[in-house]
Amino acid sequence: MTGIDPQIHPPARLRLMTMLTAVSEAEFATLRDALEVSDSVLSKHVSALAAAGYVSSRKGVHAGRRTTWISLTGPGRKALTAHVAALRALIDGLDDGASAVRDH
Amino acid sequence: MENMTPGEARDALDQADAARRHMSEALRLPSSFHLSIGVAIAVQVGTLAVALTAGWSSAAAIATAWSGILVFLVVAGVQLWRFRRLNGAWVRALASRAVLGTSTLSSLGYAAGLALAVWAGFAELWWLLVLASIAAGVAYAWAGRHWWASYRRDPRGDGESRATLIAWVVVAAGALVLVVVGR
Repeated sequence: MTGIDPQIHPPARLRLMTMLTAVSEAEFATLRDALEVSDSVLSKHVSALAAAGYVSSRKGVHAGRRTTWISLTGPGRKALTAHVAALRALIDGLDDGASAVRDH
Repeated sequence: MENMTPGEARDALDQADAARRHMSEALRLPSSFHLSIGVAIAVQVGTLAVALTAGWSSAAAIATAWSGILVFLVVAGVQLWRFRRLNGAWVRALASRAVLGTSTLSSLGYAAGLALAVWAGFAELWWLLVLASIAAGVAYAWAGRHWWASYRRDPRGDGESRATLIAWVVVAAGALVLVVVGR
């Protein structure tokens, strides 16, 4: 099966990337609170997605304190679209393969 | 990596959609957001119409026009800064659609209000110039509110590209030049 992306496969990463489609960029703490995860867990997910080129992060200032702003990249948006399409195909039974995960 | 069942895929998508909705529903506009943008647009339209009517080449007219633009830029800048600070998030589409007025409704309301205000100025119907400026501000604010409501229903954070925004500015500047030259 094609389309299922192992980088986006973990539910927290799919939620993170989908949330980022609603905004242009979001502050680290905003995403952490919305996802209800710890700083370290979010940091690991962001690092993995950034390594894949799916999100970008930059240092900035929010409410007078230093923080990190995270945004979806163009390749990340395309990968998410393909991933969601693959999940929908799986739901609709369009994919007859038992293996739902594409290995990179 | 383990296989994924259709049920798991559905759950993953449902959770992702819920997270996206939660993200957009948690966003809050600063107080008096649409009202302040509408008032700033009314001031900008009114001052520009007065400047065009009074004679674009005079220093006072240019200063009047720039004062209206400055009011709008300050109000827009402060409100967008407040939005970012309030939410810890940035929505480029809010800046382009609701503030810079690139939505169709905003553009039409602004253009119609400005055209009527300028005509009223040349006709020396000052009450109508004020009324048209206020109407432009109301239409602009209403269009922004309409966009925000549709964004909350289907959140997409990206606004127009830089190229599109530049094209809008060029078109607006061209229209202004035509008005001045055509006098």
